[in-house]
Amino acid sequence: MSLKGKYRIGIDVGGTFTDGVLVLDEKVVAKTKDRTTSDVTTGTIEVIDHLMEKSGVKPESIGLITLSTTHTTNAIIERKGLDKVGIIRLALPTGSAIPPLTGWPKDLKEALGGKKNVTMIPGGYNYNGEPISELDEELVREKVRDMSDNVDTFAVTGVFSPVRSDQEIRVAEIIKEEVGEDVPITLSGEISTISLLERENSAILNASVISVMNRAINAIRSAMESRDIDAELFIMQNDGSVIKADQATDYPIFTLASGPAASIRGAVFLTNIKNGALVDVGGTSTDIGYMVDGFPRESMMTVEIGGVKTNIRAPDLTSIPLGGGTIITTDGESAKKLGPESVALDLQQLAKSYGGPMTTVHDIGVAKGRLHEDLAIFSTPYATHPEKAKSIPKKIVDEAWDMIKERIEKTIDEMKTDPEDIPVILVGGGSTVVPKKLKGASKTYQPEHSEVAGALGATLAEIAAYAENVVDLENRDRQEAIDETIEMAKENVEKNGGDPEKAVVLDIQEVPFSYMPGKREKIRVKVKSEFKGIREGGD
Amino acid sequence: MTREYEKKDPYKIIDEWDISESDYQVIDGRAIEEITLGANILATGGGGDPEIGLKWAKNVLDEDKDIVMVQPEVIPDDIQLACAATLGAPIVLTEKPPAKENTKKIFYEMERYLGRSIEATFPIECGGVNSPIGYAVGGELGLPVIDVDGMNRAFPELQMTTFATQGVPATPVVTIDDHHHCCVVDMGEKNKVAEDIVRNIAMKYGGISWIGCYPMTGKELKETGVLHSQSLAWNLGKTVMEARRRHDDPIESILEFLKSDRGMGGLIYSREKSWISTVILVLKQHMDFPWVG
Repeated sequence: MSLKGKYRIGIDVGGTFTDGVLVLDEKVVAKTKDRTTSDVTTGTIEVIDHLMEKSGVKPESIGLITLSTTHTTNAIIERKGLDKVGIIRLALPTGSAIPPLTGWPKDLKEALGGKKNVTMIPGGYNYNGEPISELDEELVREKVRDMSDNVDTFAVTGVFSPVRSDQEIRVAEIIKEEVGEDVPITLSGEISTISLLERENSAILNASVISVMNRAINAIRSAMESRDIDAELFIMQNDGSVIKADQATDYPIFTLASGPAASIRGAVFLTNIKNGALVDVGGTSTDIGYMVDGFPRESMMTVEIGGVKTNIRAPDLTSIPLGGGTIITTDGESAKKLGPESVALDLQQLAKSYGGPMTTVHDIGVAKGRLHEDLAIFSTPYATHPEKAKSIPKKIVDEAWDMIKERIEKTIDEMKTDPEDIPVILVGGGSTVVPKKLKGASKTYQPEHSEVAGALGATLAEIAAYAENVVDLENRDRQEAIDETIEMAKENVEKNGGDPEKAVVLDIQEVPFSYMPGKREKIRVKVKSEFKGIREGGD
Repeated sequence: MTREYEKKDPYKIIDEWDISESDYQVIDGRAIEEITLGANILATGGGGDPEIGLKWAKNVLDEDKDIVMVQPEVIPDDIQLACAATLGAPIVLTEKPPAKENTKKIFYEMERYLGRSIEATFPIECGGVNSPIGYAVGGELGLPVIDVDGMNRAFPELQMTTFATQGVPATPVVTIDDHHHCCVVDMGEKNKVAEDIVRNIAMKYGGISWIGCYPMTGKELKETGVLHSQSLAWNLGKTVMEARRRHDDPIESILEFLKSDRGMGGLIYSREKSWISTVILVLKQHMDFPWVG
């Protein structure tokens, strides 16, 4: 397969703005920032239209569109349009004290169909791959038949399925035999890692947003068709890689926090810096993330979505209440406090540089001369009354500037894992109003087009995959075990549409099993590769 | 004798002991969260992720079972107690949450071995997963939970308790798996040998076992346990939650509560790579306590 056109479109849906870029090779041909619509889809299609208008590129020249979207996260948070999920746990007798959906918010539980679609049956494995209980296939059939009228999708979770997945796979086959080939099934072992309850939650949430993702992709596909755009459609994942749209409908949960991941990829695109910190400054908050070999560093913590604890991989981010609209409290002589309040969307009514009464981070940037020209992408000027910002007493400006600087420096420092200075990349619409000289930074970059970094990051279509293995190093060679896991990850990258020949290992993690005799450990490998055929074509 | 444990009623038991209302407290969902949080501060994050135990205890409460905590001074000297806990690899526990009937099986076998009925229980440690498990057990079996433990923090091995150091043996230990395979280990005073054997049994069970241990009398518990450690954990947890509600500094509130000083402050620069994640995890748990609502 090859791409029909040379141009690529990247779209990044944010809370306030949906950004879009159209690139040719490494060059930005057009960019746009439109208001995000409540249905997300309308705004996304508008961005495509604006990019086509601005650039004048012919529809047939578009080879690829990548979308970083919030459809699924919004659906879970708003409990809207969710699928009814048949929940199957293979574990008994293990786990009966804590059944599925324990601790879930009531409204979300009900939106998914609630407890009546939950079944616990004998099954699961121990860490060494020995079964806890054999699978009773007749019982599975019976339970599936009982649920089939009330559910749209299934989520299957077996104990230690990341180590041995065949029971989960067998149950999926039975569901298909009983309900039909097309029924969406989420297997927990494909979604996340060891820790049964969080993995089960992740799988259930994934199963609940399959139709949401399907509808979004179909809407965008039909919009593309009606505009004669015959391009490859990719969906951005939260590890910074992309997935083909038809596969994305199986794993919609991985679009969670894909926006910050896209920003990190964009920063890499713009600077070619692959290791360092990313500071993404928005209107009300700043996200600080870490790049490791060009990809977002993964968080070690559990991730809560819509009130449910999951263990899906997600970028390691710290959000601080610091953006262009953040209010600086003063007593008329000196700066007292930085935030956390913000003028939010009323910057142009309330901030000093627009003639308003409040002193904001934006005004300090203007007073410092850091922001002195309009950004092409915003339809409004950077300040209508710059003299008002300049009239803020110098003492206040300097003190506020130091507060902003220290807040960012402290957060970068907290996220560092070694003491050396590191490159820092400033991106986002608000990045032009924060200090460029930062302690702890070996060099600070603020590249052109950084206000659409996320959309740019989406245009880099790289495929990633993972594999996991539990081994006992007392009777296995460590390197051999790692190599085996790498091979498993390469097989997975091929399944995801990547080229296994060009796969590069991004990360190897070894987690020892403590308080156990022997030398058991979990090995987890992440690889990336190019999309198969992406460089072959062109017109 | 039946093969089943007969669930008891904690209120009936404390009625028989004839104790006043000020000597016991009813434990609800919020109390469990506060005790677990406080216990984890005392254990400085040790003892495994408390999440599984916390969820279990809250489920027990959701099923309208009663959890009652009783002050140690007022319990009769001659009653029989024992505690239940999980022993093995914490990472396996995250994959294998408990089966509901485990505690009943443990206490059934323990009573059978001892030849007498157990009237109350207590958490073995203060911190980690075994802290809330002590309460889940009390609720499942209908036994009062006594305001003591054997460590006042979390330690890695069975024999590392104040009970053992003061002469109460850890055994007989009843150790079971989710299939209710059962071994009873009785080693007399040889607590370390018992630990080694019990841990090996846990391996054979698939990495995690459920144990009943430290059977003792009311008198022995009063003499060898860390008294009021549960109340200490509870008050500590309350203090931190209160500080959070007021948006105060939780660490300052802990220091004030414990009338203590900040021992040290600093930044961890680097450790061996495999350790970094652990260190960050521990630090973040202390800052954030993400399992609390």
